[in-house]
Amino acid sequence: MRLPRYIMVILNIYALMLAGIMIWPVIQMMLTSVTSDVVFPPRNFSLAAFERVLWDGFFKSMGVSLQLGLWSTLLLIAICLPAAYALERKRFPGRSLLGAVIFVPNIFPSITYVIAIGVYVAIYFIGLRGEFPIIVVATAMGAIPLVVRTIQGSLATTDEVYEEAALVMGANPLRTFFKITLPLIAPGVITAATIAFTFSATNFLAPWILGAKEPPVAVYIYRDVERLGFTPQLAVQVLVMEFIILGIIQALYLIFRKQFRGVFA
Amino acid sequence: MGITEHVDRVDRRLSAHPVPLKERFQIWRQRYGETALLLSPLLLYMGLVFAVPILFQIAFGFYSRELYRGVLWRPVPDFTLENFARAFNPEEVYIDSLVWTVGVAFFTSALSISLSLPVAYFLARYNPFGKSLIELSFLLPVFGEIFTLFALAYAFAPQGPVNWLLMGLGLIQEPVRFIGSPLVVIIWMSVPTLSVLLIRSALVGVDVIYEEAAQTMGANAFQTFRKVTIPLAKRGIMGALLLSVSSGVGIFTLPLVLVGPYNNWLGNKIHREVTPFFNYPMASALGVILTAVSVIFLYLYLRTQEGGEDR
Repeated sequence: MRLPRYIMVILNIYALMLAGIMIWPVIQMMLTSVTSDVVFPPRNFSLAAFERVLWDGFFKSMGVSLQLGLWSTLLLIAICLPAAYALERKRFPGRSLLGAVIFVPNIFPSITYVIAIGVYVAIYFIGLRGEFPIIVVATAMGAIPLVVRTIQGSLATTDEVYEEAALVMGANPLRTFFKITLPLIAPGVITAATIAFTFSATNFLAPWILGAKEPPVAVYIYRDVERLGFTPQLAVQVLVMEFIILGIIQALYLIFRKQFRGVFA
Repeated sequence: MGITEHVDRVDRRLSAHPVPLKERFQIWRQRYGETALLLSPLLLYMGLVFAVPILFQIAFGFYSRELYRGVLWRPVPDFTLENFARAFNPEEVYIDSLVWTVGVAFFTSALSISLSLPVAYFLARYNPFGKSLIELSFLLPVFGEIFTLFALAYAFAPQGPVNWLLMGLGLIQEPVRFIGSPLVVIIWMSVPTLSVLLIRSALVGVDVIYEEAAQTMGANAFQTFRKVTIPLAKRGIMGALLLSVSSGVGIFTLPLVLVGPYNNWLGNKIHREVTPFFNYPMASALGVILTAVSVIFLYLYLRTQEGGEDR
């Protein structure tokens, strides 16, 4: 429909304003990390907060986070890859039901199922409370829908004829999968892995509620908030956390650059 | 008709002659054995880590409790509705918390969707200045919850940019303490973010022809939008609202960090039942209630989406 010009201008300004609100967190974090107090407009620029990060237990908890990310990613790929293959390529009764069940971890509020896991562990396996494997399996749960759907989408756009050709030539199903299917869907699997990694490595809810004995970085930072309030030092920690995790993902893309040829080009 | 259906039909015709159980199992294994093997890791994992704790949570909700070593309330397998009765008892704190959680989720979702309507329409129909920037900005929450959370905390600090802006505009005389009050959570939940994308896809589905017809008949832009576009996109808008409420009731981390552990959101109440009070049956009953509320809104969302394109 035709809108008067002044309405168009107002709407455009409104849209840009919303975009500004969405972009603001990034600017805010960068500003806060280079000042010594949280004041706007910024004054008292200093890099003191960066020094403090180094002598805290920050890098130790960063290591825990990276381990958490790595193990959850491996777990998620190991269980979601075959499931996504079955959902996409096989026909079986209850297929659409299973497709819906996959989404249950996103439908249920994550706080309630994490509490359910916590209570269950506290009552029946009190010795395992806060142990690393429990944290990994509980954290990974929330990423299942995303990982399965990403791999499934990648499988859906890959033609089945190549697999059939390999099977006709006498390759067994396992060999066909590793030699034909997996290279074809590699971009999807790597994307799913990066989603799983970012999700798990920055996850706060599961490690915190389950009382992780070795706190991942998100929990470590929150403990500082409880103790000190929101100081600029914490902005530095959050920024460093994001840089390390996004850096690892960037490195992954560079390593697997070959697989992505023709996907993004 | 696929081969599987054909085999099924033949099977059914043959079933007049009973097939021995062992043979039936062999047929099943031949047909679905590989699929079952592929699905078993996921089903095992979701069963052990998700379904079993959730089932126990439902069971614990109906258990009565006993004090164990003077520290924690342990669930005892003895059927009682006491936990649910307490949850809905107006003299206890829980029903108040439930009403607050659902009320805030509903209010903020409605506000966020009303605020996103004009911009979503604009993005759906026109090519605004800085379109790629606007669209990119709505994908920015990839940084994760923690990042947004801290940015919010600094933005709403007593001397932060929000207070600076409000004071500059002359709306307030002295800085408002946002951190520690539920206001900051309510404001952030009301900011149209994901809802813009949802509403835009609903509005794209409305054919321009109807709007043009209304304009030809002499309606002005606002009338057209209110009387033609919105009713035609009603289903998508309702869907976005219900989806937003469904995820809004499960909010936990945002109020925990920005308001503090002693806030009124039900998620935090549940966690408090677990950590300082060790009242596992009560926590389980509240968890069941919160999940039920969330699932009800999601069910309503699915109801609005079914029926396809023909209506």
